[in-house]
Amino acid sequence: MNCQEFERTIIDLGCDHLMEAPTPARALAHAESCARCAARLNRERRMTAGLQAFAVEEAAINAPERVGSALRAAFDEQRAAAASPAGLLRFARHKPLWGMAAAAMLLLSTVTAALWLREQRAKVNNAPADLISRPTSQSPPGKSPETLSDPHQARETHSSRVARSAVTRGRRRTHRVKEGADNAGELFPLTFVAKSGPTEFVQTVRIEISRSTLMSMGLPVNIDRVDGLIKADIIIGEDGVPRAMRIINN
Amino acid sequence: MKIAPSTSSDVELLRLMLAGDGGAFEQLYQRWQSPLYRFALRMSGSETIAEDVTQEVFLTLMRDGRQYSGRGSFAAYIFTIARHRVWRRLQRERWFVNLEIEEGVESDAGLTTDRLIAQADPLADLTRGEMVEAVRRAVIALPAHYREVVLLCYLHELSYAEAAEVIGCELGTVRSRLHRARALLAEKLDAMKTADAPQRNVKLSRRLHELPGI
Repeated sequence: MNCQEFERTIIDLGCDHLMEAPTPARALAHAESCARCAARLNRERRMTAGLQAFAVEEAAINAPERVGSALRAAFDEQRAAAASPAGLLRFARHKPLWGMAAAAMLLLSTVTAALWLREQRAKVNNAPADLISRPTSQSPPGKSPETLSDPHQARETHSSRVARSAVTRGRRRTHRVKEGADNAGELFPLTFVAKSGPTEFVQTVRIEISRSTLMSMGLPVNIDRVDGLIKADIIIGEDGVPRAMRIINN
Repeated sequence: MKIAPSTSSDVELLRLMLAGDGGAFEQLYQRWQSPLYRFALRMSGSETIAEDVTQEVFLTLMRDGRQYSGRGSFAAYIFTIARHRVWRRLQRERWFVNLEIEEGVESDAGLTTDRLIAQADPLADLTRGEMVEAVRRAVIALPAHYREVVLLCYLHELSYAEAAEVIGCELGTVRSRLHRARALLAEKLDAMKTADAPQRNVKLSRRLHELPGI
């Protein structure tokens, strides 16, 4: 071992620190042969002795009694809180858990509200869809052909649809229905309608018809303009037989 | 280090304390209050900070003691908490803490083996009380990051590995800091001895005059 290597081991050697087996023996052998390193080693050992004496003197220092008293009080308080039947006290110490629970509740309520609103909007949009999407071909769902055969029922059906659409879709959508119907009037069932199934596919055909013909069918017509033509929609069933008619007010 | 007569391990005492055992808390407190208080006192130089830190460490144990996994030593765990608290207080109250003058980190750059060997032994010819006082003053005057390794390794007898765990650095860093810290200590002791020499000579001459026949 040379002086440089000795210098690397001097701290551990001076403190009698544990080292690998051959190292202390080699270092001590070098110190015996080198006066400078021997002096260095003595110096380190005296330093270690000084530090150890300092440590012994320091060991007598204790924390003031008030520190212990305060901690004992805190410990007793904590133990009492932990032993109390209200588990909330224990839970209250975990503030992060409270925060997380509140955040979860907020998130849950937000998602629930969003889903509910989405469902309500879907209901509103789907309810009048059949009225909007079929301006020229109608198959009144859930209505049997008898409803068309009864003039009062047919009148009620149309007006109730309009009223329903006014309620559910608001003023704008109701206006669209009226526009889509070309200011059409009420449906008049034709008396010779044959019975048909509830799922019958009907078509609407727009025609021009003389007022005199309408008069012959028993419909109210302005007598002063009896020679003129008026527009009307004829509802024709699958068998080609007209089911109802409505006057277009243009 | 003051050790309570209990033979229970620190981990066992901690477990019992967390279960509400007042006796275990008392034993753990008696075992560790002095080392923690002394460490904080020598690191901060303030009794107030030392008291606060001691208290905070035990309160942390009561509150978060379950976080101790038992992987490292309990000494390293508890000194890590204390060190963290001390540094935080020092940073917060650095203008108010009455520490002796700390020299710059690089002030030991000029220390060489030759200089150390050439100097006379600063602790030679001192009584035990004088030696302890000289070492105390020299340790307190060390820069904080050298002082903490000296305190942990020499006063509280932590291993290098435990000290590295407490400080959060590599083992080699602890070794090199200790090496430099000892060199700085020697330098400070030399300086103190030189400064105290005239006073010591006066004291010595007074003693000689007090001797009969002189």
